[in-house]
Amino acid sequence: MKELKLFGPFGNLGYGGVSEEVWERTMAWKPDVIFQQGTSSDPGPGYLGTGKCYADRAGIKHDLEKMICSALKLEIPFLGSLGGGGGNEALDWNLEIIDEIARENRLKFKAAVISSEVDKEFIKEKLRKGARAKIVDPHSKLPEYLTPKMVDESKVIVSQMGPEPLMKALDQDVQMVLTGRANDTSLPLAIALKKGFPKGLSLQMAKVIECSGWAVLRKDHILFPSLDPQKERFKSVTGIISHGVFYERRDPNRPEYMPGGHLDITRAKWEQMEAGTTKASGGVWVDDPYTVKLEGVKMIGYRTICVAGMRDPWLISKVEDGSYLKMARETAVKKISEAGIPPEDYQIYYKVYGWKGVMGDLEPETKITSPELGFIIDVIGKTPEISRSVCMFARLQLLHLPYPGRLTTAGNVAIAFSPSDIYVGETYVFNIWHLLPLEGEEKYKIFKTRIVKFPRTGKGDMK
Amino acid sequence: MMEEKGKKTVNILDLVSILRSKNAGPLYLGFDLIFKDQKGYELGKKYITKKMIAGLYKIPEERVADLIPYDPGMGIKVTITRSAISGDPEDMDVYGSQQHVPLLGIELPRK
Repeated sequence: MKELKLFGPFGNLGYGGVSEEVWERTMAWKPDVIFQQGTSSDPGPGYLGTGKCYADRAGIKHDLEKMICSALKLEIPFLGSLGGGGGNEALDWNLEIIDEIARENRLKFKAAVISSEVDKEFIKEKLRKGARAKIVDPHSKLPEYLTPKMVDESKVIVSQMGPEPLMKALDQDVQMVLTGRANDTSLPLAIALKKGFPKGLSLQMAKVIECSGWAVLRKDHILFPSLDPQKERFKSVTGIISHGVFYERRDPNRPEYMPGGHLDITRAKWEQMEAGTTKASGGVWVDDPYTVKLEGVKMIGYRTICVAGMRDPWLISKVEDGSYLKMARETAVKKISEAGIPPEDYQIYYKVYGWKGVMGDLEPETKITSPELGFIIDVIGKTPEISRSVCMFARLQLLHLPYPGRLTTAGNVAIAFSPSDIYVGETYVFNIWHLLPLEGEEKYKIFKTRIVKFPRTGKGDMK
Repeated sequence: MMEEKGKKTVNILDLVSILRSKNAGPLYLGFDLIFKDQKGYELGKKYITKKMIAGLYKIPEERVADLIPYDPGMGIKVTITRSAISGDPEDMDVYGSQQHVPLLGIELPRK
């Protein structure tokens, strides 16, 4: 194959954003593959924890329908990662949408589905046998090495997939490969490697268009054409580099770490061609030990929040000196104890917009400069009932705190909603962000591949 | 580059086309300073240090994990450890996209 034309339509699965005109132009350009990333850890631990996607159903269905119909029409493969945090529940929810698309459009196709949720016993067994899973980047709030206890505490653990399981799946007679959590780059990289292009150059290409874009991959260089004049970032070398190389990474010289190696673009060349096309080359693949990144979340309780605002300047001055919220908290804790809920069963966080609400301890401003403050009372309780009760007491004390000297005896804050308290539900934090070394066939076995025929005839063919 | 009479320094806003913060994984925050031209980029490379970043954020210098220039992109990438992990109850910026403001105070010598 002399060249491979790749198309990644959407910034994120479900977010849309490609006009009909650009879509038609791209189809006439005749891509050899369509790929789409739909997993991320960026929206935080809540999605992996709850098994929900960060995009909604209508958006996801629209994007999947567009890609699947076009790929089948052009008789080219579609590779997609599905399911937000990437756990099995969200992956299956996406498969139901695909099934609906197949039925509604009277389409028949076969897909390899590769899940990325990792069996906890597999990890613990490896740790017992002496494997050391080190944290990706050192951080004071997480242990340097993964322990079996952390594995047990996790609700869900996914492993970020490299291109290998996808390449293996492409060997089978399928029109699509659908994965759970995967490196965004794994999707375009898998097809490029499958077609025999060099690894370093292929990863350089994949890194630039992982979050959407167009690429023409050749033996010794890549072209990044812009088929959408509205998208500034595809029109210049600086746009390509600021988006594709700098974004969300620590080292622009080594912008992508994969299982088994990383990309080095220290000596890469980026040239501006005519009509906004960028020509690139020089990306080098550097071998590393084969590890997969594990992402795990644990539940810390149930959340209820309350939103309120403050406008009185004297009260605001008491928030600034710290005394108001200290008294509000202490009074609330006392009332909550009297109601029979011990302090170890909940946490109250007062988040104040207008006073370190965005930057916390990184905030350089030392005075409140805003005429009003916004409060979010954020309660994490051991049970849903405790969470609700604690939020109610915390809200009452924020509203009616008998702060000495106040004139506002009818209320110290403006409550935004009725009902005032909003029950949010299960709340998660990241507790695993570690690299698990794998040996030999483990790189395939850790991910489970199954072939699914769409439309599905029933639950039976899911197995 | 705008020239102000009598001013010996130039503010970063006159030099960059992109200045932003974003998660670099949930444990780190990355800052991207993409310069408009080679001259500005050279000033940035010469004068922006880990010590300067630590001073602007009032954090220990050890928390500034990386400060790495990339010549082909005329950009400097700075990375610090996050105070709270993304999505923790103590965290208020899941995507880390509003943490760049102290960098607006960077003043660089003109030469």
